[in-house]
Amino acid sequence: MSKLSALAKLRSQKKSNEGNKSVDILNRLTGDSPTPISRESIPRKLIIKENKPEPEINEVKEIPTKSIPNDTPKRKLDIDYSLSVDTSLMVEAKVYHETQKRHKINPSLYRLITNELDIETVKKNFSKESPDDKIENAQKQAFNQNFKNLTVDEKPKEVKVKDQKKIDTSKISKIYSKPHKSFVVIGHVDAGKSTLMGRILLDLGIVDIKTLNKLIKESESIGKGSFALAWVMDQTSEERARGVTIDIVSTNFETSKTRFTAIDAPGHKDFVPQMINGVCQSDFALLIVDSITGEFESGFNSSGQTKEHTIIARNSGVEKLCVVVNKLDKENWSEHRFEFIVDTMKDYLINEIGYEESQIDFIPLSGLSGNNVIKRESIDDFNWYKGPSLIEYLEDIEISTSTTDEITKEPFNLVINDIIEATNEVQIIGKIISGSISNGDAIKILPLDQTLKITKLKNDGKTVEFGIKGEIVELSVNKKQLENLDDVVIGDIITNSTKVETVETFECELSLFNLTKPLLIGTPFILFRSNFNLPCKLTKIVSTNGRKRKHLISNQQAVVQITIDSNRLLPLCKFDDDPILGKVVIRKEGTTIGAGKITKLSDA
Amino acid sequence: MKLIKQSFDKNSSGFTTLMPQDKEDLWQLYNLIQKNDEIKLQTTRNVAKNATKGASKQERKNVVLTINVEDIDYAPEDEVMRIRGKTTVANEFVPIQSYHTAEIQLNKSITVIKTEWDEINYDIVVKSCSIESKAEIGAIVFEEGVAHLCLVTDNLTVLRNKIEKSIPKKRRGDNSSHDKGLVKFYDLIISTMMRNFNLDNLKVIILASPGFLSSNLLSEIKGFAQKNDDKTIFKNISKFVTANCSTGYLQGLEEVLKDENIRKNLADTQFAQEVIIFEKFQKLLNDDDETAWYGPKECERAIQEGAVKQLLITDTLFRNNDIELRKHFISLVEQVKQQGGEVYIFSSLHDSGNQLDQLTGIAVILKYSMDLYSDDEE
Repeated sequence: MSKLSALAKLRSQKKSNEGNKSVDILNRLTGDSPTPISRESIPRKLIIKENKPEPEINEVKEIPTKSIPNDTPKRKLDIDYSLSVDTSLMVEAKVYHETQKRHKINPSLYRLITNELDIETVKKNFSKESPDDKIENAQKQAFNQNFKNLTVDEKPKEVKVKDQKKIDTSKISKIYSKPHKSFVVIGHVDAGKSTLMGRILLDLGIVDIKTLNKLIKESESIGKGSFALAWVMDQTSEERARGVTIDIVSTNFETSKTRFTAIDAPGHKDFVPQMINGVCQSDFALLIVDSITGEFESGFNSSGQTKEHTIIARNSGVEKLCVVVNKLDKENWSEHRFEFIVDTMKDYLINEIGYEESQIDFIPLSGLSGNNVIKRESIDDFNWYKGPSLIEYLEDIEISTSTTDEITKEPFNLVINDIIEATNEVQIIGKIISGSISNGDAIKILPLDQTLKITKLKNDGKTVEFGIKGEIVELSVNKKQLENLDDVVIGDIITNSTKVETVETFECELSLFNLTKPLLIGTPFILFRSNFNLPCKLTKIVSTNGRKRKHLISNQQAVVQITIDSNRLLPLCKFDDDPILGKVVIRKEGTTIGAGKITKLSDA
Repeated sequence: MKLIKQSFDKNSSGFTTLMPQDKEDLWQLYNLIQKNDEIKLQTTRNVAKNATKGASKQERKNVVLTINVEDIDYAPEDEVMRIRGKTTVANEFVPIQSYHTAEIQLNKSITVIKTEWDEINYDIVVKSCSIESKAEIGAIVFEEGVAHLCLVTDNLTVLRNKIEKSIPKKRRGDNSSHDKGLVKFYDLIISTMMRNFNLDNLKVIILASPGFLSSNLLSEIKGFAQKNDDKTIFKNISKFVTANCSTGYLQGLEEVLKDENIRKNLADTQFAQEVIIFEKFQKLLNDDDETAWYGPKECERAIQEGAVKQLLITDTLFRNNDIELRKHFISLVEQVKQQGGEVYIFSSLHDSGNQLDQLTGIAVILKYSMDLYSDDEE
């Protein structure tokens, strides 16, 4: 039995022993159930390939074809019609003779016919505008008028594609007066990540007591009363039934000083890919550790997630890490226990992971009771603690921010976190890694390499004019612009930089962690770049630090060539050009085995 | 494969007539037939209908040709194998020394004529013609948004289909789009499975994924069967096995095959053995106690010293067109067997064989540690 199922089982034991009978019943079924056959058709999306109509350009193309015939036929007219006039006159003459014979009518009614005369008049007539010419000229004129207008319209449009709208810097600084911070909550499974998030939202009034009471009722009804707060975050039926967070969920909230985006990450080993996704969207991380004797230790051993999560956080560019010592109420707010955990963690984070002491902080609290999260209860045993509460800490934490000047100069990069299909538009949600974007801009999606126009820009549900680095925005594009929605997947990059390329092969400086198996040439593994993962292979070891062997082992550093083992290409960029897109983490068989910085992109 | 007729001379030349029955047999034939062998088989050829009339009309004729093999192509995904070469025997329609490309057809006999049948060739014939029923496994390795459906036999891993679908992420407050996307994804997997897998013929169907997805898929499959009254699924429902792996990509399959519980279901399929021995090799290599080595030079030295416990070698090395080189590898295998060591021949169409291939295709596990490190740099 896998650990996960063991865990699920353990948790489900908490609830009443309602066995999963449906399976048994099904097994007993012989297959003669009387339900009528209703074969479900395969859900298939019909996407009509439709080019965006561009009438202006079509007409521009028509100018030469129209203007040339205008001249040439006129000259031809003389010749053509002088001939045709002859025959028609002959017919007319014949008729005239016949009628004269029969009726002897006054010949003056009929003009004397000579070729010369009539050809002159005919010529004169034809030198006038023919009805066709009239129409054509009118069209031409109308077209010219339109065309003049069109050029005026067209030019700025083209410029816009290349040159983004200048963002009002004063607006940016206004936003910066209330800084925006995003953080991710990570830690071992059952450390209380979701519960802490639920507590923050409840005490800040984002979630009202009524909702919570409902959740308490629901959770108690299946015997999981302590999960009520976690259920604020864990909302899929799957997650509630199993009592484990499966995927990340981000939530926005605001205090009087700061705007926050908080991301709750899953703690279980199987869902590390989702957790990596969360880490990539945040500026700093809260590492939750369970302070209960035995629980802290089990989360901290080599197979526990405390270590793996810190490694990933460190290698994904998380500069600040706050260790939240949770459930200290169960340890009677023991200062001794707190100090023990602080010492152990400090030793690990500084000596093994490579954090500076200034980058890490420690806060004791209880997520379930809520003490020291936002409110401070007067508990005598807790009087030793003089530091800030969690919310005070969150408001005061300093994260490196770019100046407005830097942001406007930087290339725009965004990693797609989510794609939502609506009736006639597609909403793309992602975090702006660098630069800025404004409504109406044209953007390029990689690896699809298609340019799209943004029709709507939203931030936290509100329509905004622009988005800047660090924000999580929602871009809407017209559905018609995308031929096939499945061409765009979560993890694709939206950019206007030329430094981001889609590649199949690249070189990177790899540092390896503890391996159970060596990394050989040809060894497959899963490569993570921000929130995207792909199967890859080690194809070449370019250089190693000293060791003269043909393969890589634990704790070794090497420059290696990696090839993507999939028909999909990966948009990447060099570490020097963008520290986030230039960083990769590699995992094999469910453990993180290394991290690397991309040094060379080669499309071999 | 059916063995129809066999005859060898004293100088170990001779012929064998075989009848391939499935794609696995084609792979065995691919390993058996080498350049400069002769094959005799019934094939179709476009022949000029009436030469006297001048205007040549082409006609397809069934002819029996004997071809000197120059080139073999095999695409396991399409189950097609083609052999190209010059005819060595003239017949009514086809003159001698004319080129012909023959497609090997299932359930049609083919005669392989070799000037020298060696141990490996002989083994292939014996093994492929054994009456033990062949185990074919279906595997669905998937995670949220990506699924791989493949068939695994003793010698091949064939990816039948890959599904990619983006599923909207869960959001606080509204999960309907996520749930809907997930249901659609499961439906897609099930319908693709029904199209690609013949459930009656498979020994076991592995559903492997991270987290709870695999057990969810199983209940979706049961639900699907109930809804559609699908008797094939009901009949084979006990064949479905769920397993846990860390990724939805094909690498996950290897992880699954190492799982004790799954292995019980698979009994002794060759692939599972390969995976385990390769795993052992990698572990020893990581321990760095000099009992695991790879590379032709190192392995040769180890074999000369008689220190080899297990020899890992891929079939690619035997497919070598250089006869001398092939003989050399065969003699290495013989030596190890004589010394009492075990020999594992990896199929390069499995992932572990493919990995070994990239490590020069030959590796050894020693009885005792030995420094075989050769100083020469590439």
